[in-house]
Amino acid sequence: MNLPDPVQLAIPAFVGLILLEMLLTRLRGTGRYDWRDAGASLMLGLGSTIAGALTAGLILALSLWVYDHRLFEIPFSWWAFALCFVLDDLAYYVFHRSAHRVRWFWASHVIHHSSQHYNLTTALRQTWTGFFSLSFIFRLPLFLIGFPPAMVFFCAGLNLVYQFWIHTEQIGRMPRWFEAVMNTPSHHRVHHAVNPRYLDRNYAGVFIIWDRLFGTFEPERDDDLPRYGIVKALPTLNPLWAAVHEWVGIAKDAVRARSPSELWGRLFGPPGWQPDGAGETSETIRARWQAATEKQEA
Amino acid sequence: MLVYLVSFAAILLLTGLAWILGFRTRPGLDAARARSEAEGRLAGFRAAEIVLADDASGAVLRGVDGSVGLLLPLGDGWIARRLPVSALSWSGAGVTARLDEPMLRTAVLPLAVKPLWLEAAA
Repeated sequence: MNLPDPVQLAIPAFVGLILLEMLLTRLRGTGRYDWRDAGASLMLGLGSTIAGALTAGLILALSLWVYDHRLFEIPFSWWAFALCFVLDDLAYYVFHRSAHRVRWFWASHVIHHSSQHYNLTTALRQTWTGFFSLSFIFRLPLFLIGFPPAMVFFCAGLNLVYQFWIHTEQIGRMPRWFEAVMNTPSHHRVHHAVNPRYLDRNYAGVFIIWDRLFGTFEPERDDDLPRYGIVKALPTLNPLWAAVHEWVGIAKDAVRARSPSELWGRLFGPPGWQPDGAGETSETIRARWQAATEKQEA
Repeated sequence: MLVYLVSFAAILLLTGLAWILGFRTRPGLDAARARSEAEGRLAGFRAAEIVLADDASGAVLRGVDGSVGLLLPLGDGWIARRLPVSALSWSGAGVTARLDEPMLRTAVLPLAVKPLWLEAAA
């Protein structure tokens, strides 16, 4: 069955919505744009598209091989599409959580978080090294279950298109029922924030229920406005450095490792991990912030 | 190939429009904003003293715990770093911070007058 690529179909809408958001940012004074940052984000998006095209054949071949060993026969029917969409979103949650908790995956995903802005161009700031980091493995179970690759890639495309519109400060809160079930601009602003309270929270793609279910949900608070980016902001807007900087850091740290366990920690530990415990992980940052806040309140 | 060329043209168009719409300036830095930026981006950092660079292109802040916060310009905003006071040196034209990062070995903040607390710490 031939299915369209939802991302390609959505590109004109992406461009139009970015233009609209720029105008609203100028007119309303809400949100931020910087022409250099926006240019870097868009270049990273183009690079990601090229990298994806170069590796698409290999990923498709692997997907078909796994599908050949499927456990069930799943037809192209409406319920299969619906189930596939939900399970693909769960796979995305697992991928995304790993991408923030395992440095190897983070090295690839950090690109998406490396802007200190949060606007629709940030949504297009995507990885160049996803294939190298093996991030495609998280969808393989879907093929093993028996979902046809064309169906999975179609659902994955829809998932990606959904995530575009939530990268904005132009929308405050959606209706309560929507915020309860779906990922929204408010929930995703939390995800992109470096405020200690918000670090490593709200990994959802489409359905925020995964975060509520697995204990990683944090609501956006009006008294703690999100500051976007990464803990140690990049000192340059160069897209090439944004794409590879964490890999360079991993390579340097790997060479310096003095034991297999240290090497493991530096490659697959949480971002910021250090063997002596002095690293800046989300947990240590949150603990330091809590201690400072309690001290201030006392 | 054509699709990538069209995409590149669209990037130039959108980036140019952002420039035309005026998204190319950095808001001025005052003490309140410097405090907010540093305390907001450096977990647990509480500023005791704030010294703005002469051209307001950054700030150096002394934390209540004796550490130093540094704000440097990037695009229309700022990046923050926390470092020991020993990483700072005074050159006469301003404060030089040794950061030893791949794209940020050192940073110089122009200061006409050396802050007293830095003089005491150095």
